[in-house]
Amino acid sequence: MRYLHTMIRVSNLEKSLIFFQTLGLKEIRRRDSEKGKYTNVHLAAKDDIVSAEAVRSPTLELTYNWEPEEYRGGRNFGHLAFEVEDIYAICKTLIEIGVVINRPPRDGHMAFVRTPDGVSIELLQKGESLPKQEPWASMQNSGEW
Amino acid sequence: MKYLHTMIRVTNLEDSINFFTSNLGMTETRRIESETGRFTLVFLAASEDLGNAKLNDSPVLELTWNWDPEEYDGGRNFGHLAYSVDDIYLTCQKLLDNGVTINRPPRDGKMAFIRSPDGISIELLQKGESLPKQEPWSSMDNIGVW
Repeated sequence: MRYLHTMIRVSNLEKSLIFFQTLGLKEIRRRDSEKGKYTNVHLAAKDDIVSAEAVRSPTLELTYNWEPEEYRGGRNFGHLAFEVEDIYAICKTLIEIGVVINRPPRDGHMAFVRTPDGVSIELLQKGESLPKQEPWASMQNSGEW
Repeated sequence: MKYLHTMIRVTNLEDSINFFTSNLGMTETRRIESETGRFTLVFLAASEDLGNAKLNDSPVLELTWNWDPEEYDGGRNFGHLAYSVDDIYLTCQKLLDNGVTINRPPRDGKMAFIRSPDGISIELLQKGESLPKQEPWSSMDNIGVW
């Protein structure tokens, strides 16, 4: 048995793609179903692309239903976690496109953000934590994650 | 950048570990207990991911068990977790034997859906080509939603 993907539903495909592309995921596969009236987009993180293309794993599947739906979250699902090369750089880029950093990387190690549909995303610094640094070190939490 | 894990919350740690290990053959790779946070984290890896998971902590499923009782509901923004399996009929038979409902039976020899004890939807996909259609699966009805 092998892990393949986590699927999340998105209410606006374009907005979601901007969010995930900013994070550093790339689209590797897309399927439109006229009959089912949906689009599936598979994304892979940069270091997972080779594996994702070879064995379809690990990927993030976005399901966009063409009939408008509003999505809310539930507590049984927690979050998706990704390792990043430079947690400060990625958080800065996210802020620049208007993403709220719910849990800023005060410790140079961990941050939480939410996708446009409220899916919680954990970002973890690769290797050792980065040295504490402003403005992150004194940035307050914002909302929940 | 690399995918690490998907975290789900569980109301009963033992039931959930049993669900993922006995039914699906996953293995616990790491456990963290926090007295101050009053939670336990358990990381599980699928059989073919085990080597990688032990080395890189990825890809794994993280179970969070909060020691203070909570009830968990689902939300539509999360869809499912998907795993490939070597023999979808064998996996589903084992699930049935253990009392798990097959919400979407593998009628096509390719795809099935089940739910974890806390209602997390799990997609099972046959590795490689679909298996030939076979009873009792091909005429088994859907149960509930997934």
